[in-house]
Amino acid sequence: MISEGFYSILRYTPDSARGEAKNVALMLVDERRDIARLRVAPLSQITPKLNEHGVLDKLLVQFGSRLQAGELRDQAQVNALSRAIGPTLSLTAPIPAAIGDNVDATLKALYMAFVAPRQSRDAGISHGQLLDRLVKACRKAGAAIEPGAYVGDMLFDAILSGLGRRTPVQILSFDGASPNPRGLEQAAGYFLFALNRIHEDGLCVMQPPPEHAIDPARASYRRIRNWMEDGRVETIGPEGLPSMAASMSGAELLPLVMST
Amino acid sequence: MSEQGETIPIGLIDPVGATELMEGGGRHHLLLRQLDRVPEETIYALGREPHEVAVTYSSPTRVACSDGKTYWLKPKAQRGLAVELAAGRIVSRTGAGPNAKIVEVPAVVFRDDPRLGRFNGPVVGSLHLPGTFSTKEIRVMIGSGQFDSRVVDPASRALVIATQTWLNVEDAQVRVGALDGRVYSVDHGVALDAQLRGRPTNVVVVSIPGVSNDLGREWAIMKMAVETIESIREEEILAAVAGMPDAPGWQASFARRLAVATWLIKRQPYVGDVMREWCGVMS
Repeated sequence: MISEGFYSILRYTPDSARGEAKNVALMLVDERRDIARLRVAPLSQITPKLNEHGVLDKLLVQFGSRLQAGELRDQAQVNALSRAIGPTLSLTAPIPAAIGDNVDATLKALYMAFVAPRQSRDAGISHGQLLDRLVKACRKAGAAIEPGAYVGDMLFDAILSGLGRRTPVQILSFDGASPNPRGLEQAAGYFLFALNRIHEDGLCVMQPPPEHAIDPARASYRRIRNWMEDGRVETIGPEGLPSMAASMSGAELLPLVMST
Repeated sequence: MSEQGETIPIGLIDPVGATELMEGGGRHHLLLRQLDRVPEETIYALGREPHEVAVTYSSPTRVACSDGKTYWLKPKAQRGLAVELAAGRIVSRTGAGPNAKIVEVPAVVFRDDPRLGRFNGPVVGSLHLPGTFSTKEIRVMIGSGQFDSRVVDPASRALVIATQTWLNVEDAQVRVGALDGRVYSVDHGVALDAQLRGRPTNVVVVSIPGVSNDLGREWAIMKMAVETIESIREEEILAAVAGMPDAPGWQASFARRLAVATWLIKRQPYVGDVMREWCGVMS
């Protein structure tokens, strides 16, 4: 059974003078069944700049809230919005779509075709990808997170909020396309200095070096872990993101195997 | 090269009467009937790509489809969509080009632009190849230093030459991967038509800007391409013409499809000799 609907692409133009727009998200609306969905690209692949990442994330969260609130359900509303917003974030005019029984499958197919950034192979997990995973894990668990945000004068990779406290987060990946151990040490040093300045407890998400990594990367990884331990900063790996996010939202994950 | 044989348009052939072309015809006939009973999984178009500029009647259109992939739609082909689809399936099987599928296009997909209503119904979709460029685009890219012609891969070039020669592709087109230099055969609307008896008489070589026409013309490389073509079984060739809608624009009658398959089967063993000679190797 095919239902009639439409989709629209959200485009990000960081510099309107240059006019180079990037597709960042796809919105799908099934008018008959009154269903709307939004799928957002990993923002680290849209912009490597941390503060830009933060601004773009805020815009998309606002947009997602409007969609969830029942706005933008018909083509006239979308047309009006596409004329009104921009130039930083713009919206294509609605494009007709044939929507199958599984709305999410249709959303995924359209997203993969027209929005998804091309993945580079075997490049490891970059800083940006790790940040995307953190944001995704938190949003899935219902924990509040703001990527690329300031506390006072200090810029952090992300700020987690929950259980009546905020936690600045540092992302460090030794597994990207070209990890730079010295640069990572400088980033870790900045993070510890910044935490000291704002008197907050922090969290460090670290992707360890791969097995074939050069010795300086391994040494640097151990060094930073020691610094974090000395600074009483909790350190977790990517595998710890879901449970950490759940704990920040106040809903601990159930164990996979429950004893009777 | 041998003398060119008599040309018989496929549409005029009666597969029962054309005994010379129908060696093993009874078996092929039965097999194709069987294959026709196994329907290809239907995919349908979900939505077209956003148009940056006004489209014209001849503009190609890309759509996202229900199998999660993206296809270029072809609503008509000079010699019928049956030819376009069969050739697309064959080049996909040899690895010389993108797969082709029957794409059902619901009217809703182009409801906003009546000019594009021609895409509605069953049409042929050719799998989109991201990161590849046509020879026309490559010419421009070379001029601006965006394409390095040295990356072009001789093995895939040889495979495309051998496959397009087998299929007798006219107005042949290729696309080339900008990063890996892989060459792909695309657009097969004018192919499989002339019933040239005997071996192929023309080697089909598409010129790629900045690249010698002799790239891939080494038997050591070409041999692998020929082996790939020779490895395709009769059943696979028949499957390439099976399960097509007999809708307007398809020219997909059973007789015509059987004639196409028979012609391909008869032509297949000659490809090796023709390519060997082209590479300067005497058999």
